[in-house]
Amino acid sequence: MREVHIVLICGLMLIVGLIISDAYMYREVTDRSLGTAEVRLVYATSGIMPQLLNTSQVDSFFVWEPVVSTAVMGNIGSEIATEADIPPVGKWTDSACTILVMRNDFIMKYPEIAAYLSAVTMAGIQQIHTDPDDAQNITASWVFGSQPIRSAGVFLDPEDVEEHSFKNLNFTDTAPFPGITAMSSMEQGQAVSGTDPSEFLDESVAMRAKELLNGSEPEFPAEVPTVRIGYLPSSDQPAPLYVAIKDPDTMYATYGFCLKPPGPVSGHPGRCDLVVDNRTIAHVTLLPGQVGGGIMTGLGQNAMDAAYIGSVPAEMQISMGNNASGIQSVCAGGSGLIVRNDAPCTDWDSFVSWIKERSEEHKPVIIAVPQSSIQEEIIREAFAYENIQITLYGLSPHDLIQDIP
Amino acid sequence: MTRLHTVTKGLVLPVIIIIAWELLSLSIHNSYILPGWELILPVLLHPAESLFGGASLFENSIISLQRVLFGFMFAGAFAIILGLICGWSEPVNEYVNPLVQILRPVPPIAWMPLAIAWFKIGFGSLIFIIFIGAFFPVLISTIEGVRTLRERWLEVAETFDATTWEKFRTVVIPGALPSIWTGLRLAFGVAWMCLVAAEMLPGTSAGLGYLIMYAYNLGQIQVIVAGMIVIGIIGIASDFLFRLGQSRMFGWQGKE
Amino acid sequence: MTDILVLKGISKRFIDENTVCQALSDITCTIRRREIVCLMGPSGCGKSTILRILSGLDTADSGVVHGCNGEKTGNIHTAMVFQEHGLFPWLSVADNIAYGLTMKIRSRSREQIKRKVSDLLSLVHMEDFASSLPHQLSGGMKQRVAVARALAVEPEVLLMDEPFSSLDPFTRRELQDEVLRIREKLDTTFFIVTHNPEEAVYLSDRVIILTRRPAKVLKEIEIPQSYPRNMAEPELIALFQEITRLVSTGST
Repeated sequence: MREVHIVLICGLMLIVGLIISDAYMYREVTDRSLGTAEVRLVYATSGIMPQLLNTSQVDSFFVWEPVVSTAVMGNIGSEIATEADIPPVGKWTDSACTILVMRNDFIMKYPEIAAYLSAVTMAGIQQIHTDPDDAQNITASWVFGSQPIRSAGVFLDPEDVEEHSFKNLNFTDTAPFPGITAMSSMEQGQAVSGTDPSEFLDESVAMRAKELLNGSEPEFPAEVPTVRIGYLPSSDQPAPLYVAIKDPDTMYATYGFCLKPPGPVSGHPGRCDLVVDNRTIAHVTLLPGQVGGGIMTGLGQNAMDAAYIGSVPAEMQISMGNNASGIQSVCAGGSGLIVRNDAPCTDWDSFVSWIKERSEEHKPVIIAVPQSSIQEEIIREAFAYENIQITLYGLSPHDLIQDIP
Repeated sequence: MTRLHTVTKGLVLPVIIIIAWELLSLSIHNSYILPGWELILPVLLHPAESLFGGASLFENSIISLQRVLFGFMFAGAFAIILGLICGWSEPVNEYVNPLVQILRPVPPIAWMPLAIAWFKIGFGSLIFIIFIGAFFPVLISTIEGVRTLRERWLEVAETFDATTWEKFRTVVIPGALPSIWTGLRLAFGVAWMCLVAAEMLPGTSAGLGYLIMYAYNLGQIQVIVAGMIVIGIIGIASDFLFRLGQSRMFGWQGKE
Repeated sequence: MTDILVLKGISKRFIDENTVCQALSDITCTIRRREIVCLMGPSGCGKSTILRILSGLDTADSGVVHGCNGEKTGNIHTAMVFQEHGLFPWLSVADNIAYGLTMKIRSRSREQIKRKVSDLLSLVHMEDFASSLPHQLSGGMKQRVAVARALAVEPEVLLMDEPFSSLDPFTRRELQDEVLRIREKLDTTFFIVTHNPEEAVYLSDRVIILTRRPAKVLKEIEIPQSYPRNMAEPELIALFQEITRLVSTGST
């Protein structure tokens, strides 16, 4: 049977090709990990991380709130460090984690609306500090809804989760922007070894916002534009925005402006109006995203005008030519490192020892992070500092058979 | 000569699109919306250079191809065997067919959340997605191939006192092979698309789909376009190989 | 001449959904060694069914088929040539001819098969096309290959079901002469179903004519003329006319 032979030969050639190319890839991976301790990084969305840890597919993950609190309270893993505990020591303490970003041409065209958005954010931060309990409840219902959250067999009350989460969050509009070193050096063809935060900060908007907060006379633009704002609906960091939208009356009573949803407030509204002195000066559309980088690209594509996202993805892209600027910080803190419950570590140092141990056993620890996020930057900088080699998980079929004890 | 002519004709539209693209990109002047070829070509012309500190364009393509071939061969082997049995035996088909009809319309990518839980992130779950994508086209063409075999060929085998196995080996398999091959060709196209889509989901660290998603998160649209071009080229090349195989091996098809 | 095939009281019914159709009723006839017998009858009368029963593709409801020693059907060694050749399009001419020999039941060595195939290729004048594929051949050539493939298993009786009906007249005559030549050379017995009275008169020693459904043997006509036959001879013309009449009316 001539034809059958041809088919069989084709099949055999494919298998041989697979083995050769696989050996090539494997060599690549092993070459890179000679000598130093090794850790595996896997990119995942925040939602899937608890499942990955719970099914032993990863040993650890590093992500934003409230995913951290959900994992801790659901007893999926234990939190051993926040960004403040991770080296280089002190770098991430009180530095901006989530910031408000706007496209430059939007700021130019609607400076007053940009300023009001900043002012709303500042007012929202103020409101959180005035009534933290209310802010937690608003955030809980925004992120989780009213139903209990199921997490690895137990049900959690969203408000309890947010109470836990808020301890880890410091809402502030004055946190300094961090410089990026690890991820920017990964960028092909980029000679810069780090970013300078002052380059992409546009302080004029925040300055005008403060004037507005202090009762400065508003200037109303002639047209009523629609402003599209991107944010990560699975994160607590944009809480000032949530608070502003869910409790517009308080803000209006205090400052004379607010972000008001058109109808009764329930779930997370997709649109609202920027109201100043009983006048709608802009319509706002909220666009949810999965990771900050993607939202930032949306800004670059003129698909969004402003965004509440991580400082790192914003700085990364602005340094690479995205025509946008950081306006102000929204919060500091809010990241947590979770490890499996049976992991032999309680803090960053013992975590590093565990990584070294597992690396010697050729079973590197696997850590999940959101792609091109502040968490990835923190982890990469930390491992560079600790002289631990990072490889990406899943580059080779060998990762499939690699057991996690 | 005529062959060359057809190739030329096929190139006319892409060339027009490339020129129009470049002109538009010059007027829009925003690489986030339409990156010019002066940005895309360097990516394509340096396929071995590391992108974003990770694998190069070439390595990502190899990884994607590896995955697709692995899953495709798995799916092909299973589907051909099951298809031959179902085509040959009506009772078996009556058991299998309803399940196949229910599962077939489910887009392979919809299996991803379950696949991650069952087969782990990375290689295992991707192979599963490719398997699901490639399985049904091969299965259905194989069943069809066996079903539409000429009765006469089986009778000829019978007049020569062929046993059931001999009939299967000498008539059913070679007779159904053109149809199986068509199924494999379709399946490879589906598998390739499924893979790239699945790689875009979280949990992968390499591959063309991953590269596109990573580039998206970094706002590197020129890398996305380069990735799309490579995906298209691999797709058209594999289809060409399958067609070549078809005309080489089954030139008799439709002329018997 | 010895009898090689004896059909006694062969009946066959087809049950289709809820209608029962009596195809053959009590067919009795004899074929002798080295004879060329043509089987004729109105279309749809069941001529092909008889061949299918002889080749083992169908079984009779009643009646028996004897070989020369009184054997049962299965042991009479037959091979079949179908109307539209039935060659395997994926096999070369040589592989098609070898097909029957590769069956386990015959267990020939590679060398034996190769020799046999090359003998048959030269018998049907197809030496130059050994590695061609069937779709590259003309209709007449395909039918030559089909004949060679059937002869490969050395059948006692070669059954042919309207073998040349789809060929043009010149090719048909060429192949009919081929049949006569093969009989001279190999002493093969031929049992040929045809609807062409001219073919029957040109080829056969004897013509068996069936009635309409349910088919019985209407008449057997001996054609005593020697070969090669000149179709212009008055005796053959008379036979041609008689056969034509019998087949078209279905009665004496």
